[in-house]
This record gives sequence, structure tokens and C-alpha cells, in this order.
Amino acid sequence: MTESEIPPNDVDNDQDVISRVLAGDRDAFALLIGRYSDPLYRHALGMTGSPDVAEDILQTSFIKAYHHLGEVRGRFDAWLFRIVANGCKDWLKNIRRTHLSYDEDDQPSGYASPDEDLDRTELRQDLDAALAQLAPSLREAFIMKHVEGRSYEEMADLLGTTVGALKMRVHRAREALQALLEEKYA
Amino acid sequence: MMLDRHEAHENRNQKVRDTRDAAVTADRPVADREVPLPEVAAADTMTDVLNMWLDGEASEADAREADAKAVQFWARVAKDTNTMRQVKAPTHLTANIMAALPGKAPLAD
Repeated sequence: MTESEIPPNDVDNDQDVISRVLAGDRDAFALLIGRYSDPLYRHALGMTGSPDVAEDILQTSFIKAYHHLGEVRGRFDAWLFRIVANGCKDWLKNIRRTHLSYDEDDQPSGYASPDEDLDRTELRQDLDAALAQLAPSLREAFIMKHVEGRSYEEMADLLGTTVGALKMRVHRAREALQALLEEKYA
Repeated sequence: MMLDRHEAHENRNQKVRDTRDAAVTADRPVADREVPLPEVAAADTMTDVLNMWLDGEASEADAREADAKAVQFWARVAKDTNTMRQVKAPTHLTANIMAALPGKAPLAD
């Protein structure tokens, strides 16, 4: 969902698609799913580390978005992102509260692209484990910056905070990850 | 007359508040704390120039000069995160979501 991924006319067309769905063209909702599922899936996968959980969060989020489509004000992509982001944070809160082991119970079971399983390096596993130790807000900022490749301005827009605050979160996430992993990988 | 309870407790219960704050802080992950722990701060704090390089605001040469090992580390991480950026949602996702939607249109607000 970076701005470079979606042609501007598509962003402009979101409202047209929403109007069609609200008018009874249920199938038009598939256009919105197709348009935003890849970047949102990457976000959920980065936040949870589990393809299965990421898929569940996306499914729940899109269904929720469908039910509340008439309440969209402003940018649909930002509204939808917040639903998914909150879903990820809720999952992280619950998994901590129930003391489930991230490593034991939600080990990523596979990736969507064919080469992903083969390319799943030791570093990736260590990075996932290190990310799991970060506070959700730091993890979110790191994923948005380094995995999703968003600009600080875009992140600020989506999260409703300032560029300065996000830079601080990303910097703190980098410090923590470097402290956790540098000895092994540098 | 109503007394401001916050002010009344401000000084008298300092010890209680300190204990409570310490308990809250202990529950948080290290990275969530505002002040870095001393053992993390001394050796592991990244240099500004390294963050600037990672943010595209400084050259790699400058970053290498500051911390060559860290540059090597982040280059490896970048290779991995670039791969993660190519991941796509499962192909069956759209069909599953559409199958789970109700038959009638959502209400216009």
C-alpha cells in the first residue's frame, strides 16, 4: 500500500467502489480486497510472524470493513490500515496476556510465494524472534519502515502521529535489534 | 469542601508510587522503556550517522567510518527485509473473504 504501489487513480477510485458496494454490488468489494491485501498481509505477517495469524487478521479486518463501509470518511486505505494494525496489536496483547510462547505456538508455518519457504534464512528466524521482543509500537514502526518500505511521512499519515515520534520509535527498534543480533551477525 | 486528592498524596505517598512505578516498568519489554538500561546504553546505542544512513540521509561511506560492523549487519538485515517485501497474500484469501461476507449490502451511514 505504499504510494508507489497503487496508481493515483486507483486511490481516487476507492470511493467509487465503495459507492457501488453500498448500492448493492457486493462483488465490487473484491476489488478493494485485491487492491490492498498484499501490503496489509505483509504488515500483519511482520507484526505477528505467523502466516496463519496474518491471514486470519486480514480476513476478520476485511469483513469488519465491509460491515462498516458506510462509515468511511476520508482515505479508505488509511481507515482499512488502522483496522488491520489494531487487529495485529490486539493479537500481540492477547498472546502476551495468555503467556503463550511465540516460538512454540505460532511458529510461521509457510509463506505464500513459492520461494519463501526455501529462502527462510536463519537470520529471518532470528529477526522474527528479536522483533517479538520489541514493544508493539516499536515493532510496528520498524516493520512499516524496513519491511513495507514506507516513508516517515506516510507512516505518520497512517498512524496519526508525528514524523519525529516515528523516527524515535524506528531508531529505538534498530538499537534493540542491533543489540540482540549484532554479536551473531556482524 | 473537596480536597484535591492528587496533591494531598503527592508527597506523602512517594514511596508507594515509586514501588508501583517500578512494578509497572518491570512488566514492560526493555525496548518499551523511555530510558535505556545502562548496559544497553553504553555499548549498543547506535550512532546518529548510522540512523541517518538507514534513513537515507547520510552516505554508506560515512556510516562505515562510524561503525563498519554495524553497516555490515544492517546490510544483511536489508537483504532479508527486501525479500519479505515481495511476499504476497495467499491466493485464496479474496475468495475466502467474499464467501464469508453477508449476502446483503452494508448499510450506508
